[in-house]
Amino acid sequence: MIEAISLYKRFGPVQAIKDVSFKIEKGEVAAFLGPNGAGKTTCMRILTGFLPATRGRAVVGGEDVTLNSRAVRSILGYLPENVPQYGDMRVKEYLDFRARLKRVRRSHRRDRIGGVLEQCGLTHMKNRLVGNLSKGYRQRVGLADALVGNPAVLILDEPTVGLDPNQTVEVRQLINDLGRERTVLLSTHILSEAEAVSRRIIIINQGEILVEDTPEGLRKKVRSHLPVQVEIRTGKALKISEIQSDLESLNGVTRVQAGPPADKGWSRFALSYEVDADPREALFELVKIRNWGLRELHREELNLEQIFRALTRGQEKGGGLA
Amino acid sequence: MRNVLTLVVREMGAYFRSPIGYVVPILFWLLCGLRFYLDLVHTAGDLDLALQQLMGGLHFWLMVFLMIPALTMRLLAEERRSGTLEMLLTAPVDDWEVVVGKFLGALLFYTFLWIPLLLYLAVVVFLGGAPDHGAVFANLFGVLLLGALFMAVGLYCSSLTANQIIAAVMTTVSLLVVSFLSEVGRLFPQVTWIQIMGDYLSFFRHFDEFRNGVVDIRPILYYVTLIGFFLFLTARSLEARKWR
Repeated sequence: MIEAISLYKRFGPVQAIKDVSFKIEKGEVAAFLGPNGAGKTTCMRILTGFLPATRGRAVVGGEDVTLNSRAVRSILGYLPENVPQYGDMRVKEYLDFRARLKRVRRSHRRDRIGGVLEQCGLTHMKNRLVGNLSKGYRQRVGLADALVGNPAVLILDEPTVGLDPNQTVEVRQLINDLGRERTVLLSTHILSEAEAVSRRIIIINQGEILVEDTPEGLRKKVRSHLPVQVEIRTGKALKISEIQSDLESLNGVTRVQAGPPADKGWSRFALSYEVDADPREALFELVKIRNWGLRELHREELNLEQIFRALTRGQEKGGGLA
Repeated sequence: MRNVLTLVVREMGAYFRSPIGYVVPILFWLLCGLRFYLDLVHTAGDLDLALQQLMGGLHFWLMVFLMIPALTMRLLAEERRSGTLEMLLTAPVDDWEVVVGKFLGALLFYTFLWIPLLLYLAVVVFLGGAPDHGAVFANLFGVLLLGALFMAVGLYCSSLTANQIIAAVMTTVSLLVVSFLSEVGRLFPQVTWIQIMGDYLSFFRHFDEFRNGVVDIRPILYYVTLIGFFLFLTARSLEARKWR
């Protein structure tokens, strides 16, 4: 349904994206994940036909976005990054204007607008001026606008930015519902959000796609790069290096790094280990045998930084992971 | 075409949702009324002359030069500044539809400013005057055509920047420059071709024909061509985002 084929975009001296290719099937929800300035918005603008790519091709719903831009735009619902809207119009008026532009037939228009107002929780706000709404409500108006034309493809640029936690949950739920019958591409810089709503995560950094996988697949790839943190007390006057080598003798452990000095008698270590290994249990056994004290043992949570570190390290080693 | 209508309605609405839609008409009607009254006094009741002054005298030009930029500066500059251009152009709308919709919306508002002045005519007839209706309507038609051209220039200037003030200044300056250029022939009384060129390009001269009550196809063509040209430039300028 959405296909990018080796997209490049250059703004003067700045290479915004390079060689971006991906394919999103009909009925799939995919997330663009990346830090600010990674090129998510640029990609989306190319897909919506607002900006042309310097090189490469993009196809949405079987139509080329440059050659047949209008056909693409007529099946597309787009939520731009900063949700630009006409602040001088009332919510209902604005949606009516957008519905007309999107060729919603007169007989359907009222129902359609009523429907999206309901869906986005805006019914009680329909007579308010768009310009007077809070960021969260404007975000909803943008979402309602994207939906009003009943599009087959939705492109949502950071749909939950500016929402409070409750609203964020609501919007994620809404996106989940929408994903049942529509193709959705959304962007976010929050990993948990990408995991919550999409079956596919496309990670983009500095204009390039780092990896594209399901949330589970991604976890698997990165897991071995998530260090195990441990904080122990040896009781005797052991040197740090002695403990270190003791820990290193554990099966599968590749590297032990001493952490910053903790409370008196306690020391922290971060353990790296081989793929498919998990040294946590063995570590606990070791602590028991040695009769040490243990007050922390956990594997770091998956987060975007870890993924980046893991994946870019993988690339330096020869692109094994990506 | 239906998109154009939607955009025209939105654009007209936008005037009345901002102070401009109230401040400009009130000042305009106030000044026109005052001017007409003064002219009637000055000309000792010569209706035709007073109406002609109203639609082509010094104050007319002053008002047009100040009012048109105020009406057009917002059109595209504001869309650019606030980013609404993105949501507009990612809807299934063509660039030219946006341009024509904006232009017609603005033109409709400008027309709305002038229509009440027909009341003057009605009052004059009611009081027993006998103005030359044909001449008055020809003059009004000229005023609208001239306004349309100026608005097309204003729209183009507004498409070049994200700053309304810059758009307004650019519009006034370009209109002034063109009006000076058409007088440039006076500097070279011996060189006939410069005079002729100046005459052809001058919107003053073409406008004068309407003021004299003549509706000729040539000045109409002159205005329509130039309007088309500036609308074309505006559409190109919208498209230019793609080639940067």
